[in-house]
Order: sequence, then C-alpha cells, then structure tokens
Amino acid sequence: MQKTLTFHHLLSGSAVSALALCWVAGCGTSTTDANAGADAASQTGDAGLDGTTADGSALATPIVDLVVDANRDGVADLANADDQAHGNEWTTSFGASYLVNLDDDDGDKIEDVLDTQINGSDDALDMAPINVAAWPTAPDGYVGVLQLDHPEKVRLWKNGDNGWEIVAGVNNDCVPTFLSCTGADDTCADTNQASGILTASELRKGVQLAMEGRDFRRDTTWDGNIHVTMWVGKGSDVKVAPIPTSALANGKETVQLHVAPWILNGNLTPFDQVRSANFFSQFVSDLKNALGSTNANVKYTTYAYGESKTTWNDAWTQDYYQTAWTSIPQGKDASGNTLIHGMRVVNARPWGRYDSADGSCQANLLPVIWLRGNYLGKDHAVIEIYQVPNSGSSFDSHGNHDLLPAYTNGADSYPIGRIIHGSGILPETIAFYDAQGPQSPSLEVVTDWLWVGHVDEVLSYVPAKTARGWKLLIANNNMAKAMLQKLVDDGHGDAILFPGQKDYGPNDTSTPTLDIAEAVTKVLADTDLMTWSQTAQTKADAIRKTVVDAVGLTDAVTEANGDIISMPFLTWQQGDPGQTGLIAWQPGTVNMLVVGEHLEIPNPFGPKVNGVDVFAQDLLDRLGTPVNGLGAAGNGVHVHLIDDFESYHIEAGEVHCGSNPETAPLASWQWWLIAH
Amino acid sequence: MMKQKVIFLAVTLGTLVAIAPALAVESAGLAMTAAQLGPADRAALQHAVMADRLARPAAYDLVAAARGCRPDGWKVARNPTPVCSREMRALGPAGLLPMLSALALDWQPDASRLSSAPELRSKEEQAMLVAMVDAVGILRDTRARPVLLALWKLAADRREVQLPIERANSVSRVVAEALGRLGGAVELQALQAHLRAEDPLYNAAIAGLGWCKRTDSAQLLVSALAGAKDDATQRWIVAAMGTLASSWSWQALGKVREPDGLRVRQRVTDALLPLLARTQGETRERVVASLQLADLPDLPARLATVRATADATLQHDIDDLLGRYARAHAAR
Repeated sequence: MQKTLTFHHLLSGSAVSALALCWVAGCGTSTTDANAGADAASQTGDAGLDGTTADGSALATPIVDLVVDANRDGVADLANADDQAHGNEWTTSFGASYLVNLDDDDGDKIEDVLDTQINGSDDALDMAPINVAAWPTAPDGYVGVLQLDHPEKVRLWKNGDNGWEIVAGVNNDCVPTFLSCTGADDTCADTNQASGILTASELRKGVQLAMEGRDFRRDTTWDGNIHVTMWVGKGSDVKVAPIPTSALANGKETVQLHVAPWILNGNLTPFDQVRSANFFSQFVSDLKNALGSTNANVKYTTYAYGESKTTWNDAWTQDYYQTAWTSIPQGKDASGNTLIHGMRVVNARPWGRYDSADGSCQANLLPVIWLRGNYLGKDHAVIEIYQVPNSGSSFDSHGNHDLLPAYTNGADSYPIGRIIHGSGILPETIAFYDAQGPQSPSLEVVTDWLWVGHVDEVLSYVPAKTARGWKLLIANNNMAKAMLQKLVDDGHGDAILFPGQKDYGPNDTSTPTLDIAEAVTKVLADTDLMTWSQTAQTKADAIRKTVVDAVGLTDAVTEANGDIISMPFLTWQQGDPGQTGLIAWQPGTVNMLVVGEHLEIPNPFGPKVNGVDVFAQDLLDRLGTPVNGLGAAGNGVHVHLIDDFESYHIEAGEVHCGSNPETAPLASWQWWLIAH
Repeated sequence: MMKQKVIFLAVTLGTLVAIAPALAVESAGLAMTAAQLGPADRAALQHAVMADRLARPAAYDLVAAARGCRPDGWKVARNPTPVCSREMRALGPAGLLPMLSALALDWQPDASRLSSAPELRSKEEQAMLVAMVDAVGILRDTRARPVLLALWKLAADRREVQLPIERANSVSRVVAEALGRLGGAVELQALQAHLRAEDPLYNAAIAGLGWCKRTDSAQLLVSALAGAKDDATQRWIVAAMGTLASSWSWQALGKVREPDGLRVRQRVTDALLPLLARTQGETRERVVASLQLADLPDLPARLATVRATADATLQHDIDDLLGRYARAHAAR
C-alpha cells in the first residue's frame, strides 16, 4: 500500500520541503491576493450566477495566467518577467522542464510515477511547478479548463479545493509486474484524460499545479514538449477541446515544459560510487585498494553473488545495467553555482541469466527485477528501454554502450559527451539514445568481429592536458607483437607470459587449474594467434578511423604527438556453435575502470625481464608519467593493476566488465544549454 | 566413466587390438559413426586410440564434458551459452587422439555432468563438437585427416544450410578451417570441390582456403573473387584473402615459408588494389583490412599510384590505410 501524503499536508507540516518552501515563496503573494480576490468576488457578487457581475468587468477581462519555471530558477513565479514572457518556449536560454519521476521516494519498491499518490515531500520535489494566477472576480459557475496535448506522458496535479489531486494526464494506478520472459510487462493499461477543471473557487484563489513525467522520449516522433493550455468559460461544452466558442475571449494561455533527458555517464564523469559482485576476492581486494587510494571519496560496494533471493547471479556488473541520471535546473546558489534536482536512472539490460535448475528463462532473473528490488529508492530509478523482455544479445549488454567525453569538431559540439555504441544493439535502444538530444545522435562503431562484441573491449578514455581534456585509449596488437619481438631480439625469447596464472581445464569446476604459461618465442610462432591478432588490428583500426573522423582527434604516428594512446595486447578467437569472434588473449588492458585520474587496469601478467613485467612497466611508463600528457596537469595518471586474470579475463572479460561506476546528477552537465 | 576405466584396465592390449575393428564399425562418435571412416582409416585410428587410452586413460575423461560445455560452467559464463573451445585447445597435442575418438569412434559423454533437458544437452554436445573440431584443426596433425575429410563429406551430404553471416560458426565452417590448417593437397582439393557458388559448402570452403597456407589457395580465392555474385560474397572472399595473406602468420611459419608467403601476399595485393576504387562502404573497408593484413613492403608506393586518380572519399580511405601501415611499422 502506498503511504499517502497529500501536498496540503506537506505544506502545513513542520518538515516542509525545499520545493514546497520555494513554491510558497513564489506563490505567497498570489495566495494572499487570491484570498483577497475571493473576498472581492464575494463582495462584488455574481448575483444571478450567470457570469455577469455588477460592472461586467470580470467577464470582459478574465485573468488566465499560468507560468512555468521558464527562467530555470526552480520557481514558477507569476511576478517574474522571464517566467511570464517565455512560458511557451524551449530554447537554450529559456524554457521549463520536468522530470520523469521513476524513483521511489517512499521506499515501497514501486516507482513513484506508477501510483496516484504524492509519496512524501521528496516525491514532491520531483515535480515541476506551474502556477495559475488568481482571478479574484471569477464568477461562480465558471471553470478553468486545463488541456494537455500529450496526456499519456504525464500526470498534471492541482492543489485545489480538495488538496492535491490529479487534474489531467494518466489518472490511474498501473504497476506492471515486470515478471515476464517474453511478453509485455504491463498487466494493466493506463487511462488518461486530456483535460481537467479548475473550479471557480480555485480560479479565484489561484492554483498550484505540478507536472510529473511518466516516461522519457522513446524516439523522435515526440519532441519532448508538453503543452498545457488553459481557458475559462461556462457551460457544458466549455471542457471540450478545441477551445469552444463558449470560452471567454481574451482568456487563454499555453505554456510548455520539456521532458528532462536521460544523461549517460562516461569515463570522465566524477563518479561517487563503484559496484561489483563480491564473487572474486582477489579482484574485490585489488579494486577496493585502488579505489581507496583515489582520495575522491568514491564509495565501493559489493553485492553478494549467488542465486538466492538475497543475492544476484551476475558478476558482470557493467553489463546488466547502465548508469545514468536525469535532472532539471533549479537556479543558482549565492555563489553563482548552478543548482539542479534529479535522480540516478539505471537502464536494465533486456535479458537475464538462466536459472541453474532447469535452464529455462526465469522472469525473476531479469536484471530489472534485481534492480527494482535492490537499486530502486530515493533518487534512484530504474528504466527499461527494451520492448520485449529477454530480447537482444550480448550486444545489448552495456559494455557495448559507452560515452565519448565532451568534444567539439567543427560544427559538431557535444559539451557533455556523445553516446557511442557497438554493433547489433536493439533498435529501440538506438531510438531512445537518439531521442534524448544532448548526447546524441549516437555514434556506432563496428564491434561484430568480437566474440563478446563490446565497445569497451577496444576503447577507453582518460583525462589529459589537452584542449579537449581527454585522450583515447585503443587496443593495439601491433604494439604487443612489437614488444614481444623486441624481447626475442634482446635475447629474452624464453621469458614467460602469464607466469603463475591458471586457466580452466576441461575437468575444472569453480577453480582454474591449468598452467598456461607460454614462452615469448612460442607465442610469436603461433600462426593462428598471429593471424587473429593482426586481424584484430585491422578491426580496431577501422574503429579508430570512425572515432577520429567523428571527434577530430589528432592521429599521430608518434603517440605523444597525438590524442590516441595504444594499449598493447594480443587477440585470439573463440567460438560457440552460434558464432565466432575475437577476444583478448592477453588481458585486455584497455578494458579498464577510470575513476578521476585513477585507472584500474587489468594486470597484464606479461613476460618478466630481470623481475620486471615489461607490459606492466610499459603501462606505468606511458600512462603514469608526463610522457603522453595524461591527467589534467599532464603529469600522468595513477595506474592501478587489478588482478582479474582468473576471475574475469579467462571468462571473457576484464575490469570494466566486472565493475560499474555511477554518480548523482551533475550540476556541471547542463544539458538544457545544448541545442541538439 | 569409472566402469569404462575398469574395463580398459582389465583386458590386455592385444585383446583390444584384436577386437577393435569389429567394435569400431558399430560405435559412434559425437560427429559421425565409425563406419563412416574408411576401413583402413578406421582401424588405424582405433588402434592408435586404444594404445593411447591404455597409456593415458585420464586424457579421455577430459573430453567427456568440458567445463564450458557443462551447465555448471556455461551458466555462470558471461554469455550463458555452452562454449568450450578454450579448454579443448588447452589440451594441446595430448588431446588429439581423445578428441578424434570422441568425434568419430566412441563418444562417451559424462551424462551426469551435462544437462538433462534434451534441448540444452543438444546445445552442449554441439558446442563440444565445434570445440573439438576447432582444437583438432589447430593442432595441424595429419592423423586428423581422415576424420576431417569424413566430416567434410558428411557436411556435404547433409546439405547443411549455407550461413552467409560472417559471425556464424557452423560446423561446416569449422571443419573447413581445420582442413585448411592441415593444408595438404588433399585438403585443398576437398575445399576446391565446393567452390561453385551454388554449393551449400561454398562459404565454408572459402573460409577454409583462408587458413590453407599455400600459393594455390591464393589463386583459388582470386578466381572466386572474380566470380563473386554479390557484395556479401565478395566481402567474405576478401576476408579470407586477408587471412591467407596475413604477414604475421607467414612470419610465424618461419624463414622457410617466407618465399611462399611473399608470393601469396603479392597475389592478394594485386587482386585487391583495383577493388579499392570499385567498392565502397563496408566492402571497401574489408579490402583495406585485407591489404593491411598482406602488408607488402611496397604497399605505400602502390597506394600512392591509386590515390593519384582517386576521388576525395577514396583518398581519405587510402590515407587511413597509409596511416595504419605507418603505425604498424613504427611499432616494430
């Protein structure tokens, strides 16, 4: 059951929310005026209840004035000239926006937007204010009509004679089960109303409205704007759109609000939290130590791996959900810092894992179920972009979906980054990305040559002292082979790759026992490995070209002179009966977690010369020193080698695949200032 | 499995050898029945397997239910589908006879460790089959020839549907690549026999030629390219040419094969350079990649000639290829 609190209670309670205060402040004058107006109305009187007044002025000049937070200061202020003047526009300068209210502020594990309650003061903060000015002399019998052009996408609330209630939009409780393997999740259908009524009494006092978003833009067929049109009149036909002739002349106004987009995080996001499964103790220990040294107050949490109700059977944390957020502007503080309000919104992968008992699909193993049970909460939301549960493939795991950091290339400008993804993802996902706007259109690179097929197997992004602020890291087989060849040339051909590491043998169960140490000379004489690795180089080079062309990166043969840093490792092929593809043979060091200036990189376990791992030392030298100008100051970044060999590497992934960072909405990522 | 071991330990090698041919005709591997091998090949393999099995019985347990193809393995894998090529390859040369036995003579799965549901069990066994053929091919041991040729014939007889999707890992493709890796005249002939465009094994044969490190493989692929009926086929052939011409793979084969390697790389480059101007988009990218793989020393000079008459888009693509070449050689 919902914990019901009306907005009236909130405003009169002792713990009045910031937004409620804001609204009171913004509407205080109006409230006073409304009371005065009501008094005035009763004083002038509508003796015949026919809309006429003693002097007839009320009908001649009805007050139909509604404002939204067009100046983006967090208040819909009737007295503010910008709010008044720009209420029906959406530009980078002016225009109101609203949140999709997908979080769960009252902790009942049901998204706030799915019920017809206002779930506490925190929930109230997630709604966008609209204020209707008082028409103090509104005669009895007259009503105000509020019309929505997309009632299916929002709920419009009013704080009227009966406290807070839905006045238009989706007006029923509809909580999907989410428990379906193959079909639609919804077991109920939305009902909605395009228009609603403000009574004469409400008109006389003025009314607070609130818009609550139901969903993000799913594609570009809707421009993301909701128009609210108000008119006044009397008679049975006045409620019917289009505006009837019975509506009063000079009595109409339209405002609009834009749905806040879903904003994807990327490597250069200042993360505040990292999650992984607790399954692999060495991995967890290494990651914990690395993150603990960042001095960035990054919280590291693990979840229990397993198949019981209190655990989750997926250690591929990057894959089964994607971290993002949404926000609306709330003005600036006294120091001029931008204020926002919003929530984290993670995107659940469309498919879940098999149940170990019989191998059949279990709907309760869909990521959305786990996330609703374990992530959903105050300012923490979950979204499904997919249309059909258990659709998609490995391409729809979110290691294949990432964000290019901010860049400008000629006329193309992406101040808060651009979504980049690999091959094969569901069309509704691409449509969703491209409908968001600030970080789209998304850029696709070809990853179908990879067995897992993810863009994070090839690319990563790190802060650098350049005008752009970052450099691209890319998988590089050329360099790996050259490094091995140099060892041979220098007389170290008998040095061993993967010293001490194990792989799974056929009879192994949960612990790998197979010694896989390999001499450098043998590696270079492996025709298959060399063919696969050189092929992988051609594929990575094609991705490189796509990104260089899009971003305008400087692609220099000499690494230090350009924007691209090579991450050396060889590649091999894996195949199941359904498909074949390439995958990192050595630990795929590009597949790293980036938190600020700290890189959590798979330990390459390369060959050692005089006790020094030449691949690890190479990473330290090129990333951790000033040689390539990485880090904001150009002095290099912090390199942490994470042992993921027997946990993720031999299971077809690396550090990035096994972790997932996130953050609260960022005030610095001002999406509303971006024109596309 | 324990019962199996006891039987083997209880009898003498001589006895086993004596009864082997009769048993083998009726036995069945995962991919075929023993009878589908010729009598001499069957007997030779049977004898070799039995001797090996007596000497190393545990090796045969390893191919009974590999971890990645068992539910306790694949259900915790990243993408929950059976795949065990990694484990099968890891067996190395010691795995050859156990795998050939499992494929062609005597498939004795560890049923207790595989799924009981028929559909899942079938997927697991199919994955075992693909993994073992792949691993056998990588060993490049001519003792595998009869089994691989028999599997190729079976694939032809079964009219396996041709899968043009490049990621598709059909059994016929894996068998063809294994034949290519063996690389003898017999294997070349087997692959060549299916180079008619309408042949169900056409795509597999093309892929197999890519791994067949012979100069005549290059000629066959060049001829096939000339007759490619559509863009997808053209891309498929161009990719195989790149695989065949891979300069790194020829280096791996050592100095003795360098002359052959150079001839193949030149032949492939000669055929692909004119395609740069005649293709675009995905197909051109494939041509670029295969030229990059062939990696001829005079590639930059020859590209400069093409560039002189190229349109802006092609110039951009050639510049990209020149950049790839420069970076590759700078890395060395």
